[in-house]
Amino acid sequence: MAWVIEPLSYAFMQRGLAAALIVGVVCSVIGCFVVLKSMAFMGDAMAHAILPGVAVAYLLQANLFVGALAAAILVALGIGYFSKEGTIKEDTVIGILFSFALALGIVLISSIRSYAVDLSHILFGNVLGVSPQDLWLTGILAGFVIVTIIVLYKPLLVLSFDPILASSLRLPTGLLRYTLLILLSLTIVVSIQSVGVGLVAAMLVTPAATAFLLARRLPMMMLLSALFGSMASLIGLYVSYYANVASGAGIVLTSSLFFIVVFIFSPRRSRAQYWRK
Amino acid sequence: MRDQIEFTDVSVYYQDKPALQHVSLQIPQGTQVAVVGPNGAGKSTLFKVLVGLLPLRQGKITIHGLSLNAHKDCVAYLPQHEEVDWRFPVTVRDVVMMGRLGHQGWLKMTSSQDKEIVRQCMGKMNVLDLSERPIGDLSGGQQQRVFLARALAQEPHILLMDEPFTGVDLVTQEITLELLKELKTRNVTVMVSTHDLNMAKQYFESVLVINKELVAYGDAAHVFSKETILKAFGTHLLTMNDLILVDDCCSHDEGVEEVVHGMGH
Repeated sequence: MAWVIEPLSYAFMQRGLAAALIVGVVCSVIGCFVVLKSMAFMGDAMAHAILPGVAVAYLLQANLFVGALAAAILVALGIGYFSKEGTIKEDTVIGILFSFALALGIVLISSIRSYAVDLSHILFGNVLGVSPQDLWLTGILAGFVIVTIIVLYKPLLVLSFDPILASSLRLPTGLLRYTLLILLSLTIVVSIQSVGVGLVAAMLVTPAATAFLLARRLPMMMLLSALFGSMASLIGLYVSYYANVASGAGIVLTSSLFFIVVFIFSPRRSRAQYWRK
Repeated sequence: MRDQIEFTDVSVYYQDKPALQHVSLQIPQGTQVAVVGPNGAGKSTLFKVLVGLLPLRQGKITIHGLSLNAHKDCVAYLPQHEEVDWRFPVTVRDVVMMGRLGHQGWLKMTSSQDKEIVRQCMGKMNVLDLSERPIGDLSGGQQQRVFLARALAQEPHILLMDEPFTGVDLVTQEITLELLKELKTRNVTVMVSTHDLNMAKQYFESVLVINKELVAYGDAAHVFSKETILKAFGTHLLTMNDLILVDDCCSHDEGVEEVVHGMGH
């Protein structure tokens, strides 16, 4: 068992593991809503929007975290605004803003010659560079996201399953949607350090999709998703340590492997085929 | 102020196209109304407006003298087609329990009273045996009964059902008709849209005929005059002596032609 203990003798590895586990759980839980409400592409766009946000924050010598969060929220609102009147479909708007943000981010970052942060760390994650302050911030924000989801569980369930019922019960549907988007941007921002901009969407979608194949009820889906997400973080981190690859890639590959195995043996898939003639 | 639904000069538009214009009527509490009219006449629009899914362009609607937004869950609505994701991980019981949200508040735990009401509503709709099944496993008729059970769990004063008799099995039709009788004794207002004129005449005390505007409203015998039907259905209508045929085939899968006997005089 020495190979399990050995990496943990480094403080940076302990912090990295804690951060990866937190991110694995929070992404997987909010990911259930991302999967059920078909918001995967939206999540991806918000993640890429972080790139110019980080760069602008760096130029203004502001907090990188705040810059990232502001950019993610701005893009979420922008998507809502451009697709609101129904003139352009939402996925088209997402496609436009997503590549715009990525291009802008690359332009800004490559023009800052003195930029200290490696672009590849933003893109693919650098979980081993988590400072004690980063870890605290990650923990607090993740805790906030999880508690908010638990508190709003009933209205979020109704809104996701049946928006018509939500409106006819006079739930504040607009407010709930924006709350979900803000929780999603918080989740993405705290995840950047462990999985990176390029792979956050995978962490939002893959564990939740794996759990979807097994669960009959939403609370069970969330639990299983959190389990798959944290297992993927744990195993993925060891893979990245020993294989010396980017942490995000190791985590996402592990998570995808879970999905493939569950998909092959899923009872839900065979049942769905049976009932849907 | 009497307990009633009151429409005052209500107009509804989809973008620039009028869906309903200048509708004024009163429905006293406890009345069961069949809403009839050709396709695109605004039957669904009328219901959507009542549950706050569509805004009014003009006029006002009050329920028991109060504006629509003052009512959180006194109107329950059963859409023609449930636009839900049938693969969503919820059981039948979960779906029916959603009807209790208005009574529960967001933060409170589910009480034993809520559970009992949900159980009773599932029993009435004959879906109690299915309560732990995923909603997607059920047949169309069973699904409709689950959504009716959810509407009942809301304990509404007013129940709106959009074409509940279209494309469902006989058991579901029977149970729905039984429910109408029970709701009558509980003084619940019921509005049901249907393209089946026979059913409207047979089971409902009041009939509302609309075709973008109010054509006729009153008790069934009075409303079903040849003039009214002609005005509402216009070119969709074939008259042969005493027989009126409503040609409704362009829109319904089963391609029905509704036959209405003995209406003309």
